[in-house]
Amino acid sequence: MITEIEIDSKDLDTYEVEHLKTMINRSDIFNLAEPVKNSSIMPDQFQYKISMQQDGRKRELDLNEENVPDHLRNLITYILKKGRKK
Amino acid sequence: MVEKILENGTPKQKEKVKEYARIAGQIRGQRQYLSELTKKAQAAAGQKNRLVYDAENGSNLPGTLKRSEGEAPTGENAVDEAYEGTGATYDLYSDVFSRSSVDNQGLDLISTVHYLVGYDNAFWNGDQMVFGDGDENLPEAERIFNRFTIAVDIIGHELTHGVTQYEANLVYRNQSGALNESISDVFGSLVKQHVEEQTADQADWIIGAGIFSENINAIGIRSMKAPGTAYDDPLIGADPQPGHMRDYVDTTSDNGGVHINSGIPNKAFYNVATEIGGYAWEKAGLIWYKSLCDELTQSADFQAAANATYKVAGELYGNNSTEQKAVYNGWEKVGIIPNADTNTGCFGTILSTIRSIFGQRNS
Repeated sequence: MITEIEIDSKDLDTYEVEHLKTMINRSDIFNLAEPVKNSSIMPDQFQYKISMQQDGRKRELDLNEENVPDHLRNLITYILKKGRKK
Repeated sequence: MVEKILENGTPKQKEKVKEYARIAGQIRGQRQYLSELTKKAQAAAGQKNRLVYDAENGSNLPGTLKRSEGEAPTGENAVDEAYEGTGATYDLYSDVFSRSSVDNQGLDLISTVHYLVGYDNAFWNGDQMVFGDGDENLPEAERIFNRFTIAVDIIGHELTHGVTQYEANLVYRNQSGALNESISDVFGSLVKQHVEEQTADQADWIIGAGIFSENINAIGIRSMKAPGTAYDDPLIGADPQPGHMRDYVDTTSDNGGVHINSGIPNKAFYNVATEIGGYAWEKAGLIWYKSLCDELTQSADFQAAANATYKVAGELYGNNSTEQKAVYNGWEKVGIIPNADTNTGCFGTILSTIRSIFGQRNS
């Protein structure tokens, strides 16, 4: 099952924008090295594709569940929670 | 007493005690080794050994042991469902295909439940199964998924990834990956049908019935009978599975669409099983199982699977038999023409593709 979640900071209140900014800064996503992918993929594990744009900068990351850096997990959890709201 | 002698005895007495201790240790070691060998021999002889652990909402595997083989139900849904589901899967493989567990060597069936918090998934990690609780930590009105042990075919699906790993070891990408997924759906569904003693026309052919909460417009995560119709909901989108090669989805996501294009071989199996009739595990299941074990290679594509199952049907039931014709028809209906002469050969594939295109234009 593939789900796409788009979050635009324009649609968030001030508190949430600050919260998101903090998480993005902590994840250091724009400077993060490309995660090493295992050659053998475990069946049925989650995969994430994160695309981010901030102040003219862009970053795309492809991640398997087992190679998600710890400091990105909070950001992913936040995005998934936002996607749950209809 | 031993400690006293070692403390206060004569040098000769101390030496004797040490010698006894050494021999006793050897005997204990031999006993342990013999016990392990006996356990392995029992397992290899066809005894199932289920072990269900609890990750207690963490990620350490396998976690705390909650139920072992032969123990009474714990009263905890996830633990008991994992125990029963792994047993049902073991029984299908053992009773129908004479297979001793996942590796055909009596491998322990290890499951871990309550993995992380709000984990909407189940997977086989190469050694064991792992099950999340879905959204059962949330109020009912906010839930998308129920716990993943709720559906016996999901347990059969995950364990079959283990069987595939020990047999054809299909590469988990593009068509070979979609075949890997489809084979897990096929045998997952057969586990459920075997438990419920359903014939092919009685089965629902839904994978993961009961996995979604009542808040979601879904009957399961996939439909083998009608790929692309399992769910359609504003929150999770619509089921993207095709059921015919003309609708094959070229994509780089999902490891090249392994959970998407698996709809095509899934539908082929459904076509074959319903055309043959009766219990699907008896003939269609046996054809697929033998193909997985003896014919398919790591990089097999849909055409290779069609060729392999057609060949195996001929070997098991005779060329031009009703069963072999059902295999031919089942694949043809999804846009793939089986070719018994060439399994994975290039010319055979090209020829079949030309025939397939020609056939589609005239249909």
